[in-house]
Amino acid sequence: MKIVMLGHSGAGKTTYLSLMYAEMQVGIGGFQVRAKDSGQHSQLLADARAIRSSRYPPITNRRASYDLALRYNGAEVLPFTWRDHRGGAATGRTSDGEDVGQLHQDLLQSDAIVMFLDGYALVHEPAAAKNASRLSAHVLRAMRDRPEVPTPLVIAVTKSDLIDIDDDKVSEKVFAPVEGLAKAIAATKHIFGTIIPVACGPAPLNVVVPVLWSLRFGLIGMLVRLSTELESSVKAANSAASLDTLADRVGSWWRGERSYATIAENYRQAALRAQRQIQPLIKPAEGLEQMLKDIQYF
Amino acid sequence: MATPNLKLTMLGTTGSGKTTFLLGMYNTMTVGVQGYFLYTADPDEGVDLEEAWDQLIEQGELPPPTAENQSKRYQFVFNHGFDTLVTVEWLDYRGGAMMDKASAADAAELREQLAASDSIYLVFDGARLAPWLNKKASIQDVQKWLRIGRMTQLLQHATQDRISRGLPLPSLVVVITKADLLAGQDREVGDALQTIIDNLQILVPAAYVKDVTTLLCPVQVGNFGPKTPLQVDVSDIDPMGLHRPMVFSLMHRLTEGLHGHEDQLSRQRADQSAADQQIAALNQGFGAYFRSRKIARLQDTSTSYAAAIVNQERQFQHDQSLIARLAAELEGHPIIRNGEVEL
Repeated sequence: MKIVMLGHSGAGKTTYLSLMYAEMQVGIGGFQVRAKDSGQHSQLLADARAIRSSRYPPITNRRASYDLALRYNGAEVLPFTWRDHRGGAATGRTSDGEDVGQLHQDLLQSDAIVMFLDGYALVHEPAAAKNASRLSAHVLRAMRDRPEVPTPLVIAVTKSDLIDIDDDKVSEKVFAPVEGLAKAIAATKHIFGTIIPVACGPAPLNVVVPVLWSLRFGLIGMLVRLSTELESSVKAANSAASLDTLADRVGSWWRGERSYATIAENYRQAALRAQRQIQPLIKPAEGLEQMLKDIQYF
Repeated sequence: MATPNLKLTMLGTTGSGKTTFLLGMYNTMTVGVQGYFLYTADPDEGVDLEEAWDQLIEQGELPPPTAENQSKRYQFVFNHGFDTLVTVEWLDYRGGAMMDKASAADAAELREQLAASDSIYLVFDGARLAPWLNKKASIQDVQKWLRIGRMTQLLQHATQDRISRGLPLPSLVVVITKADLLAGQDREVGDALQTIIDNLQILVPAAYVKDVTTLLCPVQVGNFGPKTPLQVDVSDIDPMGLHRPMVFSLMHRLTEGLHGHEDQLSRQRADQSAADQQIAALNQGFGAYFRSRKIARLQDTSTSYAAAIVNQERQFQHDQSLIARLAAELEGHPIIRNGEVEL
């Protein structure tokens, strides 16, 4: 599964990634996230420790990709790649850097999108609303060409601990720039959007929600694929079995071909493999469903 | 179904505010208006337009006057949410044909462009209308300053070309830039617009041609005053009405398309009816058994007509609903249709 993260410089993307990783090391509800590469693992934890000591990571100046995996009760259930793009890639020219085109490709091909908005800037800096509206428009443009497959899109409003999101005037300033994008998403059947206030400061808020919301869809997608495979394998096995006769077995042997009996058995094995892959995913899928059941989406 | 294309040409004199209008229009629509979005087909071109707009709203720098003979083409995509409604080929014309000493080649080039246009924007500089509204200049002065004679001639040729080719006539938008300057002593912008409407047949005779639909649309980027500075106070920036010309052009294009849908629906219903009648005739009498294959083929044909009719009706209803939503954006703006003013 591929997750792409985008937002303007200073919105808190890299900070979020590090703190999310640190929290998911401890785990929640049996779920954890681990990096496949020990170097990335150490770097993310080091960044998280620095952030907790109020030393924030430098602005990302190039695209970074992390190979991670979701684990449930110690067993890996879903590998995923998390892509972090520099802030300027979202609204820059293709001639500014290779990553502008790469971000566009990631928006087309990724399985989940996490868009970061700086909540504090939206409330206190007039230009932030314009920038956020533009970012929404760029995301909308890129997503227009996506295939119609179920896609989660999380709008993470960072630095929510520095604003009063429950105040009507504040929430209007925060949500107005993405209203068009939210309405466009709500009108689709295949994109599932949600807006999550996040804080990575001394009082963390919803840090794990964006990643778990995204991974939930990955897990469901995997279950749907495997279920479809299981169903079609069973159907094909039954169809082949119905054509299994002594004459076919002898004739196939004579001709050096696979008999319907063999074909049916191969499909039965494929069905069993799919079933074995499905089993370990059911509990984690139910666990995520339960954890995220109160998250409103559009 | 293929995405319809809209060809749009913008005409106006130097300094009338065409570039500033385009920047404001683009940046208003790119972030969305009532769920409608506009963006450039080339993303880098969109960044150029955004940066030029940022220069204005952050530094107060108006775009520099564009040199003559530097017409610029843009390719836009107009969406509602994720649905592309139309692609727009926009030509900001700055060639020599608007000048007094236009060459035959310049005039021919623009004539060809206008004859291919589905919508034509005539940009009138509000600063040039103000003296006339203040009774300090005559309407003939306005016609001279805005090169209305030249525009009228070009439009007449364009409409004649389209009529001779059996094409629908283009919609017109009279874009009045710097609309803040229309107001005066004891005169609101609405009063000024009424005076303009009362004299529109003199100013834009092409708007009163049969089958032509025209929107009169005041727009402004800010309250910058009558002089044309290159630097403005950012607190004076107050964009208004910039998206309406494009909304109108799209609405008109879709309305024209409705006639096409209706014609196609009539043909499809007639074809289906003919097939059904043939089926009924072939099913008569003893020989019907021997005609079963032909009857089956005709039934398939009739079924496919039925499916096409359902699709066409669905598209028709969808476009009607969209037209109604777009029309709501233009409420209160004068539209001249077949020579009659609608408000």
